[in-house]
Amino acid sequence: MHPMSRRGVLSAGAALAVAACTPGSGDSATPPASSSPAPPPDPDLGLQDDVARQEWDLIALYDAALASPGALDPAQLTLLRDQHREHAAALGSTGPPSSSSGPASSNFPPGGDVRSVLIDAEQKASGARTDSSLVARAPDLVRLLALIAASEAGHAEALRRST
Amino acid sequence: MSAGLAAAIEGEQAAVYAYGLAGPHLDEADRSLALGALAAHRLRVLALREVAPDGLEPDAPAGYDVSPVADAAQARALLARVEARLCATYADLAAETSGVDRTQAILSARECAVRSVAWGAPPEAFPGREG
Repeated sequence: MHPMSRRGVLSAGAALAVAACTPGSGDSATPPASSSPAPPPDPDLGLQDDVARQEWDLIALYDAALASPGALDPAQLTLLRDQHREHAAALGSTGPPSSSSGPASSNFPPGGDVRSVLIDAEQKASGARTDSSLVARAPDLVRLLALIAASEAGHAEALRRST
Repeated sequence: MSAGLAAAIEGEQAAVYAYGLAGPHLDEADRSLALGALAAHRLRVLALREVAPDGLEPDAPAGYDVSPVADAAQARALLARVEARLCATYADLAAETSGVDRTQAILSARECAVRSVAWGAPPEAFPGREG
């Protein structure tokens, strides 16, 4: 319950997630708590991968917005995009999945409302994180998804307020 | 006069606290009465503080943010900070609940994050998390 221990636990959870998602890390990535000979795959790992993929789609969307002429304040777009990178990193993903076919710049035709597209994407993402948290098992992952859901709701508000 | 005003503010704050404490135990038929009264007491806290002279600050209950508020900028900063911190508190609550309770905790965290940004806080990747 103390801030220090909470931060420590979250950091440990993030580190574990990173280890678990690193190719070739083998058995060392297995959480030490599981002592059974053949533990079933951790369903949280698939969930983390799914959410991380969605975060990379959002990053691609922001990159497309940044490339769109006459768009919103580039400094704000960069800030929000980089926070999605932080989300992905906390989920154990430091780079876009190779199979990613994220939204391309064709999402923003000339004259299209970039701001509305981004607000809609952030709100949907916030709702999706809320849904994902219901099937997450590890308390650290639930807490992380809750914070990401809140962050993305805040992003939508920041975009609404930008002029 | 000042003492009376301070006591009235404290009394209104105590009433808000009492409604929060008593509300869940009331019969369904009394709920709308309680919600209306709660809203009225909250409005009175704001109204009394508007007429209170500077420096008249009743003691804050334990655990309340007691940062000094001298102008609009400090007021907005305090509210942005309180909302962000409460966001992280709700994320902790989500982690130790399940089902509809977890959903409600996350919805509350989201609302706090939105209000924090509305009060001028910069967007955060992990709202209210220390460090």
